[in-house]
Amino acid sequence: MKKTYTEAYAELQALVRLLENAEISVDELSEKIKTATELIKICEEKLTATEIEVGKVIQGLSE
Amino acid sequence: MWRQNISKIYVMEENTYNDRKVYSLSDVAQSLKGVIEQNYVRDFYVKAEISKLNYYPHSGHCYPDLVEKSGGRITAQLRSTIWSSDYFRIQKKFEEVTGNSLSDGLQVLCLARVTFHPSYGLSLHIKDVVPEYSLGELAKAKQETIAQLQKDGVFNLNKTLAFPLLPKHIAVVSVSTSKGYEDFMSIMKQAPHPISTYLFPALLQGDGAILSISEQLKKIATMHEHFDAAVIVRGGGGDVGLSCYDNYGLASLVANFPLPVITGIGHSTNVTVSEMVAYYAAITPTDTANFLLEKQLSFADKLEYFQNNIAGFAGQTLTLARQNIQLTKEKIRLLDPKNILKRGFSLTTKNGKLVKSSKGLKQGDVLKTMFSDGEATSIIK
Repeated sequence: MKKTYTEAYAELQALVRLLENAEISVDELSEKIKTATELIKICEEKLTATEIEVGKVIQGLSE
Repeated sequence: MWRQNISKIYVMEENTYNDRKVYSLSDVAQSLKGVIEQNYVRDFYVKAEISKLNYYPHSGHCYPDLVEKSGGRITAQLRSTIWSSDYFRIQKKFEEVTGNSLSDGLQVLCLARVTFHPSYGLSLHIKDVVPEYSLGELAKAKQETIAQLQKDGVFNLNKTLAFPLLPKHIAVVSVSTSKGYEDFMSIMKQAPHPISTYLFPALLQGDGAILSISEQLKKIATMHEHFDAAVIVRGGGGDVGLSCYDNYGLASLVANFPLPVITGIGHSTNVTVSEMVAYYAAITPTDTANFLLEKQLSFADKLEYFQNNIAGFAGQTLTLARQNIQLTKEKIRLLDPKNILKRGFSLTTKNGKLVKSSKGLKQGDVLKTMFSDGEATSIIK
């Protein structure tokens, strides 16, 4: 199941809030950090793909 | 009664038929004429409504049918006469003062005398008309129309319609041969993107205009989904004969119209009620066309603006997203215990649980300490 950018970003923000405030066991902590890192990767990939897509569309518009 | 008068006024030729006294019709008519002219010796003022003007351009004479109504019913009716010698002067003065021609439906105050003609019968001979009286009556009627439309709750109704972003099909109520229509069309032809117009011919002033315009508006209303707006353009007719636009029926039709109505009636005097309730009242037919053209241009401008800026908007959104991700990445990096341990901190656990406080620790407890590069076990002394 592929997450959309919006979904991945929302999940990521929730995770950051959790990490910043909550009491998390050491084992859980590294698990959460791993998830967050994956989410960041998804978001970055989506962004890069979107940038390329938008670039193409805009180029088509001005032609 | 009249027999007595006949003997008095007119010496008639007496005839008999089987012992009956017989009079000729002209005898009776002449007698009536005598009675009437004897009793009505002076001019006097009469107020009445012109139900039909009956002007004959060839002779120049005018034979208005005068009526008085009460509750919509005619309670009095009399023919009248304005001779051509008076008509021109009366009409000219009337137009100057009221901005309207003498026409059907007008309330008038006339200086008149009762006359009787053996061939044409009873009539009021109108010698003058007081235009100020009609002006007052017109203003009163106009105020009544405004008040009624406000009471109906429709006075601003047409203005609340959404004007189409890009008007492409316009229904035009006008006269193909009028100067106003010509002016309107000449501007419309300059539209950078063609706007199609459909003419619905109508009389635009004076007698018959109310009915004529109303009929065409109703026709447009039945097919309104094919049009973006309706336009009423008149021009070159001067300021005379515009009171038809103050008519309640017509103004109400404009106010309730399913399409925005743009008027270009072209005059310099008071704004009529139909114009007040229209979506937009342009002063001239030229202004009316310009209004539509501006709508088209503003749409084109908007498109151009979007085209020029869409890359910028998209770029802004993406840059912002990129920054947010970068920020989050940094936060996560700081929160990662591995990075904290690298800075010289260590984690202490007892039975697999993180120890955050020295309270609750006893002698002999076994603690496990995690460093960035390994672990050590210790016993509390």
